[in-house]
Amino acid sequence: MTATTDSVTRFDRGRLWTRFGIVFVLVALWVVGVAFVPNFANPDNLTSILRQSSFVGISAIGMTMAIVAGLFDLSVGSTLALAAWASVLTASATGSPLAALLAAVAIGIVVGSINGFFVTVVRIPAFITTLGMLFIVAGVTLILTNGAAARYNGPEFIWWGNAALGFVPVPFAVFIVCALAGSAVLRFTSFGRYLFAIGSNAPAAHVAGVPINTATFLVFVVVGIFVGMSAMLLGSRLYSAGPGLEAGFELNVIACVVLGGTRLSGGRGTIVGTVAAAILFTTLGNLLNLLHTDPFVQRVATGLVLVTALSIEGVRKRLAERTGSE
Amino acid sequence: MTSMVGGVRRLALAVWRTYRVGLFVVAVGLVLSLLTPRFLVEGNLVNVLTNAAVVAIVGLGMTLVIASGNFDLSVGAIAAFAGAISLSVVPTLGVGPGIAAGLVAGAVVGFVNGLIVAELRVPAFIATLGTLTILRGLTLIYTGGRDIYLVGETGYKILSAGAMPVVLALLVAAILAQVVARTRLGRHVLAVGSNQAAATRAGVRSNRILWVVFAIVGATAALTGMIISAQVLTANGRLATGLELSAIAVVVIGGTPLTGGRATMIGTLLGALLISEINNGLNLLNVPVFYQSLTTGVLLLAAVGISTAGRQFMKRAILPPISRMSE
Amino acid sequence: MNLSNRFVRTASLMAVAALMVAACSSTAATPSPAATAAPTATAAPATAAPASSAPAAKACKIGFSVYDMQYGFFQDMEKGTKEAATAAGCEYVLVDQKSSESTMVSATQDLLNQGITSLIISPIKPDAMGPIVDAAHAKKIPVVVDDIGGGGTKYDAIVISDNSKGGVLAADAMDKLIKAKAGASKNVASITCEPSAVYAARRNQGFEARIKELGYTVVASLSGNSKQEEGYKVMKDVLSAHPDVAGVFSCNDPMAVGAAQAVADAGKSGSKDIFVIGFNADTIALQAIKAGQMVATVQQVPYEMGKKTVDLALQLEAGKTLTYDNPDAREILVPVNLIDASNVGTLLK
Repeated sequence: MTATTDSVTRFDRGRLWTRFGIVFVLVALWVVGVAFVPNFANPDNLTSILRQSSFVGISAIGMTMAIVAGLFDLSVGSTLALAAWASVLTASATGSPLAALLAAVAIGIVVGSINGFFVTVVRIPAFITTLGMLFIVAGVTLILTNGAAARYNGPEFIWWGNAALGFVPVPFAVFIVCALAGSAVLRFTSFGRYLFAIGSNAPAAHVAGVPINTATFLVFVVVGIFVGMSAMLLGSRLYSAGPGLEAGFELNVIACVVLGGTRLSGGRGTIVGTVAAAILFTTLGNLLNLLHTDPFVQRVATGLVLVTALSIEGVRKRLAERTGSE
Repeated sequence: MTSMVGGVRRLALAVWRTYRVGLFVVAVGLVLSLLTPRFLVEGNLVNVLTNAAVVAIVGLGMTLVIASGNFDLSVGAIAAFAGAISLSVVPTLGVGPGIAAGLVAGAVVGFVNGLIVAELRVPAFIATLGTLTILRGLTLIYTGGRDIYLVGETGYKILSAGAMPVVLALLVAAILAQVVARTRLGRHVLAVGSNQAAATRAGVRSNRILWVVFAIVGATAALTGMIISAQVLTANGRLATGLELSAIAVVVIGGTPLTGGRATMIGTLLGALLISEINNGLNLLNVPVFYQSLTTGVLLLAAVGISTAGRQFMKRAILPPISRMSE
Repeated sequence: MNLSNRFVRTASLMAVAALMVAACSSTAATPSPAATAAPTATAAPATAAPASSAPAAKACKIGFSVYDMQYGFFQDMEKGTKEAATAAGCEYVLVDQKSSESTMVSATQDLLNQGITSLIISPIKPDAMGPIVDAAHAKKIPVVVDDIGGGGTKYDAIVISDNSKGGVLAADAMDKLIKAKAGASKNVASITCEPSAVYAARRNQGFEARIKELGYTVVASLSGNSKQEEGYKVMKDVLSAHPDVAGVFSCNDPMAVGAAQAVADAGKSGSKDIFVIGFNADTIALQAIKAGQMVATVQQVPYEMGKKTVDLALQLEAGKTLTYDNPDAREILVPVNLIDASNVGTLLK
């Protein structure tokens, strides 16, 4: 009897760690930063971290949904550049941030739909489809832009990426709204339930009547929409955008999602974890800069933190198995 | 009679499965030789084969990893790391020990990847993303961010001279194909790739298999890195950036499924050849680099799309008659 | 249960520890700016201003945001900047943009948040400097751009090599070499940096325009994405398509050295048969010129440029007006020189 309760609490603690461990690590890192690192607690610095975490973070919310369903989208890096360029160009032509946002999101939706088409109709695995699209969209962007970036610094447009509401940077506010929306979709809609079902066990989901194709197609479109929003904010932040924007963005986004506790094979994930992971990565880079760490050592440190943080769950499970089997 | 027809059809299916990429290679070759007289020339074909071989070698290792149901994103970083270790050793110890040092460095680093994936249970995609960053950093620290330039040391060129890269690629392909087809290790790799839990229950020591697989891909990445270093007689922390995606692309174009459990080394060779051929053609025709990324992507989707469609077609048009006949 | 629980705690501490260890090790492993700046700052009164207590006048803190420390070119630039800053008795802080434009903006913001008095930046994407310049000026911090380009932003000064003129210089040199060689064709090739590097592209544009003027044909203009191994591959393909090519100009030295290796693989010399000319005067190119593997490079002087930017920044801090070579773009041009076998010895120690 006691044994049962014991194992139940152990299970819950394990789950608590899996889901929210990253939040604890983030809090610990901020405490360390505030206590020991000069300039970290400077309000400007904290604002800067939150702002910077938003661009990867917003895309990572869409990616969380895709990975929950066991799907991958590698094309987001190229989509980001194309959408951001389209957004800056639209802003400079119309002066309207709304038009800029619509342009970026439209690009996201188009790329997402093409991804969805190849995955659900032609039946090419998501990894391959989106790897192909990563190359294709990058090529298209180069051809359209002829290599040159678009520039625009109209005050209404750059407000979105650079202004702050009190201490809350505008992109971070958008990030939080997106996170709440994403969380609500995952938890309370049938679309969200479908994604979990597909990611846990696609054949079973099929038998249970989950519209796999529709949900799969939609999730790529949703990823595109979030990337579009990231793109518009980044274009606004940088007053410009062009080909080659943020090389390796797709891998950063996926790393955030996985570090946030979403299982790479699908079926499990939380938006809270993703948000915390996005802030964690940025905080890490910021701390290393404030500590004047050598740029080469920074790479090693970032990789070590990633691997260490992700090892915790596996090692914990192994230990649990060992103590359980005894 | 029926069995013979069935046999022929089965053979057709097998040939299609293995050599469909070959059809692309031939078709693209024909088009290019019509477009430019400089394509079908001995010197140029050596170029095409060499460029294919460089990516193919690491692609062959990657094929094994993918067959085991994993990924290795750190291969580009391993290539740079091994190249730097190797070139830094050459001036003092000579070419042979230099090459050996590079191979060992690659295998050891790959082995560590295997440990992280198997023992710490970090998904390979993300574990090797982490080691990619770490290795790039370590290589930069090791080289001080500078170039190691073997000016005048031409003995190292043995790795890239003439047909050597092609010979090495064929050798690696032959060895790995034998391993997969005929050895217990190969069977176990495929078993782990199909279903690791089931393989473990059936007595396969899955973790050890993963150590070995990652060590092998590490060694192939190192070989590719050293060939690149031999081509330009230089090593640095930036060498071979983006190699991981090219390697995965040639494996996929070659027809090895990402779901694990199957591997085709010939497919990977042909996949590498196809990409190399197209990039060479675009350069010969002085097409701006903008189009290279586009064609690689289109090719990836076309090759996989057509092979998927082809398989569906074969199944519908050929296999049902067989099963009907055998009924 | 206790065991696994304790482990979780230990492991999460380890993650934080890994970071701290890495952070600390940097000071030991490499000359971290903080470690070297501090002793120099205290030593400054003795060397720079022996008579007076100079630091009391006004503490200066120079922040440098560098393009990417992976490249020797920027390491040299950083060295010049750091040495000039410490020699002037200033504190010095470095951040690395690691070739990412959003890192450029956020890392430079990290500098501004550390109370720097001058910002020097060598931008990965000049077009994206707008928000940084605005943020710096809001804090009354002058912005000096080191090389690459200004991106049409409101920086206070830019120290820049004349990229286009460097290309012209290369074309003239190549013309002379080809004319002096009997039986050489009038076909030349041009290897460009990655397509998004629009400012570096001016080198190839300068070269191609001039060499065409001189009556040559540019038979291939292809990108090697600034990478040495791709410069090699592209040159192999150029040699296949045009075996009679007489010379090749490359947008940077790593690609030029790669191209020179491709020429050597074809059994030819990059200094006698097919003239390989690069750009930057990176160490490997100087070594290649000395070894006769390539013929020349257009020299930029990143170390000197770094020193120059510090000088300009301190002048701006003191409220002086600068004299520009090109006032409209607030440009201070740094001359580019041609380095070949005749003068390479002076640069190679």
